[in-house]
Amino acid sequence: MSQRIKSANRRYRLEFGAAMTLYGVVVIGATYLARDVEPGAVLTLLALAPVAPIILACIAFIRLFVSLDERERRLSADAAALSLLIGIFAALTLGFLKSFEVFTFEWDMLWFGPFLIALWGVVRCILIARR
Amino acid sequence: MENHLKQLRAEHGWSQQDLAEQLDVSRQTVNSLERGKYDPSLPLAFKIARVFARPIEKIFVEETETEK
Repeated sequence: MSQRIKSANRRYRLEFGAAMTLYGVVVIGATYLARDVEPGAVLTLLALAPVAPIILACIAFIRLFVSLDERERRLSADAAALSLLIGIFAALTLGFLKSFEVFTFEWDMLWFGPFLIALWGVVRCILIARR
Repeated sequence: MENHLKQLRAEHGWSQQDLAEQLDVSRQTVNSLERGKYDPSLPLAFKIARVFARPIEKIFVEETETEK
């Protein structure tokens, strides 16, 4: 790995780690503060507060992505495209099963993002192993 | 696409890491290039040609040519 890519990886781990630490703090803080707050602007702000550290994490990933070499970028992009397809397929399948009341489940959109990220990681590993 | 990267690298006495540093890519990418698992973009192919001071066509071999 070239020195530039190594330092980009190091910077990403630092930035992503900091963003996720901040996310944990904000989620706990916002949940605690929201206990006695009536619906309104303040509650909306508290509900949206955890999104801010996620934006920081996204920026960290984009900075890493642009510093990868062309093969790694290609692998990541291929994995993202495949994960998106699988994610859409999973969302539609579960959506139809729910709307036809074949089985019911709590539709929690909070888990869709982490599901896609985990899927992307698995697909990327498979692509690396195959190439 | 086949290529003579491994042979050229050996002639220069470079490790995959050394070549990766010169090309500003990861060692894994050099490995994929050498095994013909990844075809480089035109800018990277030119960079490789520059590093080895050879024309691109002396480094990369079109598959149809090798099959002949």
